[in-house]
Amino acid sequence: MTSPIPGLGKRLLKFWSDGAEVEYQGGVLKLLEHHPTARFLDCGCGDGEFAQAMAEKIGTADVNGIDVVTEKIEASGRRGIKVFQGDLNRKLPFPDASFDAITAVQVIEHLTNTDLFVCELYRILRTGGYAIVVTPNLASIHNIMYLFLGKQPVTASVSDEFLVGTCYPGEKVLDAVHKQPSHQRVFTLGALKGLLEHHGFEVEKAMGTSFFPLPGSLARVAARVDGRHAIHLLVKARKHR
Amino acid sequence: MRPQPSRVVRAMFGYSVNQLDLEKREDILSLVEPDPNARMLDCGCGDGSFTLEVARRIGTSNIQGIEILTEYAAQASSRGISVSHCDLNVTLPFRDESFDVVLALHVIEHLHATDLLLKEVRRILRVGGYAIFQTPNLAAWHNVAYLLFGKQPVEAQVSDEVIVGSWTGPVAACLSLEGPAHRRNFTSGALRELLRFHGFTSVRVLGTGFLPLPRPLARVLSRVDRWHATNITAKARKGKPARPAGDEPGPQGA
Repeated sequence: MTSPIPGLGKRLLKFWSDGAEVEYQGGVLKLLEHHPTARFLDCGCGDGEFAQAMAEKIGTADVNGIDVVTEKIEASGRRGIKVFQGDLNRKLPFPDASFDAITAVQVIEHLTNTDLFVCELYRILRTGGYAIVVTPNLASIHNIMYLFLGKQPVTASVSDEFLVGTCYPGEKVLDAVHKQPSHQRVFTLGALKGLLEHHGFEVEKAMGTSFFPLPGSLARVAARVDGRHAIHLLVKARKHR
Repeated sequence: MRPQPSRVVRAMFGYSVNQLDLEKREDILSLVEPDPNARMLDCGCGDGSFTLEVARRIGTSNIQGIEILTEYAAQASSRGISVSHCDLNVTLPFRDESFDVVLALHVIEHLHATDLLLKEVRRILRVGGYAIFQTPNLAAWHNVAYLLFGKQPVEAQVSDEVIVGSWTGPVAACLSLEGPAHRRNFTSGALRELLRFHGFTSVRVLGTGFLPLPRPLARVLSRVDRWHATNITAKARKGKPARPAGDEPGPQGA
């Protein structure tokens, strides 16, 4: 499977993944609630750029982040985010009921201990607080296409060291799409909802964003109509009494 | 009226799974090589019954097993297998080149340290020894069908506690989660390339089983369309080291 134009597949992939990123970020911002005194936590905050945007939308100055990568933590710290270093596969270093809003954007698919993570989200949320989880969709149209061709979906990686079995042969893990450690578990909409509900959350909104291979507004319409096959999944879940 | 069709579906499902099981075993038994002096290791040996069957086919009585579930480990021990009760996500408690045959059947999809296991298997194999892997195929037609309906494939589990987002319907009773559930799900190309990446040679990948078809038909189809067979069976050898020891194996041609 060599493409006629070198790097075309990768460039197209980057085009779609960048467009999809804008879409799910917009979706998250729309679901955040204005609440100036909220204590806010972003799990896997990375360099903190999006955490800052989310905090602005909430209107809070109490912005916390947790990440495992040291350089990212420093970058987040420079933005005025209170950053903790920690592995999201373990118990989180926060007391019960410490946050009003928690986000985990493109994080849960990297974890091996998904059950503990969701339990921990529930524990550190105060009653009435909410969590927003974003993750790639295993049932997206392009992943189904990959499987039709007998290829490994890029998002369903099987190694932390090398991208294997995909339509992009010989690639070291794609820097733009994949960061270490690689994905462990890949979700469909029903599974993400089901997992959150299993651990006590009440799912308020479960939707898809972006739709392969459609551009901008068309993708938005398609994702609204058929969220189960969208590129990304977005679930907002609340901790009720 | 309801119980009647569901009983039929359950019986059909039971039949298919049974046929698949036979197919899975047959493919593994067809790949092992007779060698009465072979030192054999079964990673995730379960209760040890199939381990013994493979050992009998090889003709060896030098059998080592690894099993993380205490109950299974005890059963395997009572069958005369020497069992290490340990985790396959960490370094294995064996010296370099201590085995001629290593089996990892329906194991690799349960691990999070996938790369480490493959490195460890290669380390503990003697040069010329071989390993056999078997794992469900993410690209199996029934999984593609699940995804077309927006459902989670039963094999692509997202929790160790429940099966969620999937259609289990009448077959729920046949599914159980014991120990850590699945993490990484392979397609045949991915398994082949990953084995090569970690330095294995003469990698041979077969398709095994073709749900929901009966055996003779499944056998033909799984060979013709191995990309979408239900399971993947791979045999890979540890060749002579091409690079100086300690050097990271580089990517092999895809």
